[in-house]
Amino acid sequence: VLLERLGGAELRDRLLAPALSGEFCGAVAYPEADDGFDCELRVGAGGALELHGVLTLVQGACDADWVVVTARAPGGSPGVLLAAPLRGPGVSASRTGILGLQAAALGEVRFDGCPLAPSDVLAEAGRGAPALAESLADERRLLSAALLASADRVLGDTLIFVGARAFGPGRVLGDQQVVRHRLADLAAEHAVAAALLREAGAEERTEPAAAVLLMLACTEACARIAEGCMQLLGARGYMADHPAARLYRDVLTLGLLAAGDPARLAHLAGEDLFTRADAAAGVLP
Amino acid sequence: MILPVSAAAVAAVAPPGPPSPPRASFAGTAPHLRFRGGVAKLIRDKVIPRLEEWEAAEALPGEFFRWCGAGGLLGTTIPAALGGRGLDFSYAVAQVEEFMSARATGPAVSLMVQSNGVCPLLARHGTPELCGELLGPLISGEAVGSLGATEPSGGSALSHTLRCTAERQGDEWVITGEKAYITNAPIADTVLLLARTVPGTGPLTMSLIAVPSDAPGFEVVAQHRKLGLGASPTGHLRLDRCRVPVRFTVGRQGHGYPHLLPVLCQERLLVAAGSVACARSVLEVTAAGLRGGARDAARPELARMHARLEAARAFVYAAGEQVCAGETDPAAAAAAKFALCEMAQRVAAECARIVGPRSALTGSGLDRVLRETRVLSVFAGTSETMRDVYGSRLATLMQQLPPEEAEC
Repeated sequence: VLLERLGGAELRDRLLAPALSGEFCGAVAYPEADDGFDCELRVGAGGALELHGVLTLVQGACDADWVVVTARAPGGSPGVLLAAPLRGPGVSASRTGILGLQAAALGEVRFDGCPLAPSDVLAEAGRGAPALAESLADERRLLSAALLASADRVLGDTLIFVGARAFGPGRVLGDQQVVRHRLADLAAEHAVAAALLREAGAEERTEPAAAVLLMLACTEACARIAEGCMQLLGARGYMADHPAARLYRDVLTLGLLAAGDPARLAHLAGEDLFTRADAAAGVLP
Repeated sequence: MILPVSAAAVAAVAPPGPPSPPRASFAGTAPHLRFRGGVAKLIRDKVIPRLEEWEAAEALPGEFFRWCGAGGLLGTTIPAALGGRGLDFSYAVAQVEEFMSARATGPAVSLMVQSNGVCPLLARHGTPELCGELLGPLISGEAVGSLGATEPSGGSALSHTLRCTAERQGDEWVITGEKAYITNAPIADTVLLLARTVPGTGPLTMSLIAVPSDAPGFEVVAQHRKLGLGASPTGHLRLDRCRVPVRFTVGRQGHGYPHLLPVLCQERLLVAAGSVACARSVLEVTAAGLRGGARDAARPELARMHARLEAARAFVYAAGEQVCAGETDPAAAAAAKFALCEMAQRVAAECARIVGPRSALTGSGLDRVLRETRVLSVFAGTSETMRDVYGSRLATLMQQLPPEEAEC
């Protein structure tokens, strides 16, 4: 979407078509909030553009062919948006050992004078921010959907388990009221978060603030579902390959990514709340 | 971290308007916003200035119902042909949200019983003659209605616990029994009463009967004093061979429970929607009262509550859309009731903790919110019963899922 919206004709020919066909794989490194750009664009010898810096926790770092990255422009002005290669001279990537999200192949990318063409610039300093914010909102919406789908699967597995697990003569674990009530709590957690996701999904675009609330609601609900289902599943849910264990790991790991960082989400959601609250400021009657 | 509240400040500062305009189309369209404006004006002009007085007196005067009647709030969803406004369920949600976001919880509950319980039951199931006689005054607010289902023996599993009986003698019902914790009972002109008219304990053994409060043998034996909701009188009724004409039967004889069930489910959704609105309002007032370091310190907790309430609103709106489409799902209503009411309780408690000890002071505003939100998980179906209802749906699902799926 970023390439389609911001890229020039040459860049789209070079990257977009192969990305759509699956021949090339792309990644996005979302910047830290405000000014935390980790990369710098420099003008090298002969006027060529070079990229320097380190990106951490990039999804598909070792598998992707290129990455959209935000860097400081020459002269220090913030936020130039680039499509940088992940293969070739001046680039090295390594996979990061991490708790969850194994299929996302998170890794570190190091640019050390990586040569760039002028057409690799997607947006001049500061101009890519709205598109990037929209892309991040989409990422949050999709991650929320993926998390809730995993949680749905875990809840289903837990239902099947407690419906079959013997618990005394002629009874199963799910006959216990305490178990049913716990499941009711967990299923309601899922249903409540899923309602917000459906609302967001019904809109063509999700506002960044709404995506933050969605992501926060979904990660918190899924964390509670993972915890609760693992408890009901007993040792079975603790096995590394069980969906409950995977959900538990993935929710924790998601917190390391820009889209799911709990501190950042809380900061942004707090801003949204304070804005609303100050607009409606009053006291309790 | 203290809210800037004091008795003087409370007197000097006008109450807030509705916190945030609803984002979703369900109850936030332009017609909804106009409707909300009318409700909010009534609350601001008529209710809020008298609320503390009503709370202290544990009374809700008849003029409140007449104001609501004049504002069209007692027949919101009643067909226009029967004297109502003919609006759909989303407006009932908007109405309760406005009351609860203004923390006028007591009046909201009394209003809800009449506009979303008594009036719809009469409109849907009453004979034209009965509607002509009773519905008009209830919609105009000249009369107050009440719904008598709960008894000292229980209120959640009614088909098993109901002991109040109505025996037919000629053209009259002779009703004997007691009803407890009945909203509006001390001030009601008409009580829609659930009584067993067929021996047994099945769901088709009960009938709804409209009992005038001046019927012989009808007595309000007590007005309950409660932890909160003073402005919503609650009472204990005794019916001692109370005689009521059989033509006052509402709906089919023996079908009182199936008639009542959709109304109860919708009431649960409304309570859930109101709980979220109340919690949202408390959260926003708490956030607005914090500055500087206090705001930064509380931000993560406030942000999480903000996100959860946003999801809660989406859930109750989605369930409300189902009602508007003609499908009231008891399981969804049950889930909304326990999950959202308990969420509102947690939000109120967390906000009180963030505000600090002053939240417990009379007049802080939060003290009343804390007392009033406590009952949300108790009335209109306890959380435990709601978990049973929702858990039963999950148990059905449990039996339908193929065991091999677990191994996929």
